[in-house]
Amino acid sequence: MNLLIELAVTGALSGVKVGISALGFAIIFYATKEMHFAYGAISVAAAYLCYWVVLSVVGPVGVILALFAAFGFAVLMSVAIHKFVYLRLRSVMPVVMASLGISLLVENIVQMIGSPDTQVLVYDNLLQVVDFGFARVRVLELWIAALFLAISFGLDFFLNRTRIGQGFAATIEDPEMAELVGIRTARMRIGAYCAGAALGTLSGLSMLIDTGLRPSQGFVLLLYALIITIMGRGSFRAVAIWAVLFGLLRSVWSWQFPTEFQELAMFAVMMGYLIGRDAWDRYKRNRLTPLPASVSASSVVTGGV
Amino acid sequence: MRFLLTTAMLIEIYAIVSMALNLLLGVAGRYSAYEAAMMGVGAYTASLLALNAGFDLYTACFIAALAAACLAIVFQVMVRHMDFFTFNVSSFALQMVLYETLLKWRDLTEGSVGLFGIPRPEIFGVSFNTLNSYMVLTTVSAAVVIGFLLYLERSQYALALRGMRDGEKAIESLGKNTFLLKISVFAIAGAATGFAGGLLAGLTRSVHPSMFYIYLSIVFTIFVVGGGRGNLLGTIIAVVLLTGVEQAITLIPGLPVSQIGALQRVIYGAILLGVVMWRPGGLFPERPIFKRTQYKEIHPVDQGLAFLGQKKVEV
Repeated sequence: MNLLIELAVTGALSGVKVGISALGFAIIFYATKEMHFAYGAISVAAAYLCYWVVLSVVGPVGVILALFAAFGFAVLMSVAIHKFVYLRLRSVMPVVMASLGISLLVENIVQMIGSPDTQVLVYDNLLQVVDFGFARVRVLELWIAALFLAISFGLDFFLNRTRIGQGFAATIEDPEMAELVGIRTARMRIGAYCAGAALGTLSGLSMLIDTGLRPSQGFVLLLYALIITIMGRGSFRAVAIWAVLFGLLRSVWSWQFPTEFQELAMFAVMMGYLIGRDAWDRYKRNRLTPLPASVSASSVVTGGV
Repeated sequence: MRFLLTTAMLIEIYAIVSMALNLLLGVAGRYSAYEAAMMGVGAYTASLLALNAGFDLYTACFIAALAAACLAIVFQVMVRHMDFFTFNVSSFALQMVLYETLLKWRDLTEGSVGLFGIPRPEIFGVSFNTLNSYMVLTTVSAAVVIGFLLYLERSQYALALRGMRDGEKAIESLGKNTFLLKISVFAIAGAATGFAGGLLAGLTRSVHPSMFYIYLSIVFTIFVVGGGRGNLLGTIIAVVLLTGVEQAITLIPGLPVSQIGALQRVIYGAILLGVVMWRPGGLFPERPIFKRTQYKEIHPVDQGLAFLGQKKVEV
């Protein structure tokens, strides 16, 4: 039982790590309907930039400079891609193709400048283990979990309680109507790219300190974020919950089944869910619902008289 | 010489898969990201049958094509009502599921080590064991498959597929069964891809999962987009040009081995982005289906139907 609890805690924490990148991707995708495949590659490139600056400039100044460089690069790059590439294409398929091209470019330029090997930033303070009795967790993971909770609740508050947030929600819901009532949807979309890129960078940085980072990991990061975003179906709450559930399932799988099949099981579960959800939706749409009892046949014929 | 022969055979095999993908993406308007994994299914099926079940590799290629077609049909039946985004994501997920299966089902696939010593085929007593003779077999097979796909591109069937791509409801209203169209095009593409996978197994004589990672699916997409969506002949030219460039990079003197793959992918990425941005139709855009010259002359109205043009006479 203790093992199960420990696995659940570890799983939830690993889900939280995926959740930050999934929320970032979801913000971009829901607001713009653009499949930004370069998301993972840019996040990893930003983390690499941070790594190189930290190695070059020693001390706390270097860390602050590195963070500025990483976030600045990701935000500027994402906004530039949106403005100068995606907006010019104006169609779904070319955007998918262009983003795949950019993803290949960014990922492999990073690999050529750096190396294909794993790079790690070691901060001993963040890697200390805290023993809760039922589970042992690293300080870094606690920080990431706290950050994830703050982002999730902050996003929820922003969308439901603030004027700009409601404008953003309107842009997601119906961009044309939002435009008609005076919401500047173009700015909202740029804002979405800024926020999404920042969250992606955060996710890349957490990987850099936690498990280490390789340039090719960008695509895997993107793939999980992409699938969870589609599973979330337009709801940020659902994205956050699915991310944690995904981590939980992945970890609990190793309780009874071989660990090597974890990835296979997760992708199979995700695909199965998407297919099942599609079938259920079709069933709901096509089934005949009986009329309420209060509306009898005679009243329908006589117009309720 | 060996290098040239291998490159030529790779081009033939890639051309089959890319043209099958173009039939899906360009002609039918359905993008699937699992071509690499489907090729893997074909390669592993053919190899396992040849190694363990005593089948000749060439016969095994046909069974591999059948297996891949069945898999494509099953997947298509399950996802037929999905919207564009969900379908795309599901195809990515299927690619990963198949790749992980090839990687982790060690009892069957030998995991990351893969299968070795795959015997080349022998047909009616003629052995194709050497690279030269296998080149003949691959070329003939590729010519037949490519010829069939080119014929299909200009057929009434492809016309219906194009209709489905441009307006599914409209083609349904003309009495076409779009469900059958989708199933059949995925089956044909799956079969061609599976067959190509079997041929690849014979060429390399060994298969391992990393040969069929998602990156390869993206490369096939680049061939299709670069050559021109909906133009299968353009895809062949793109495959020849880009595979030639890819192989030429390996010959650059002084380039570290670790950088070769990265440089190839940078060039692929730049080509994909450049084509989408500045030549959206590809290097060879889709040609018109009907030749304009056929309908240039204006024929006079048949006398028998002339009354249709006359004004109504009041009685």
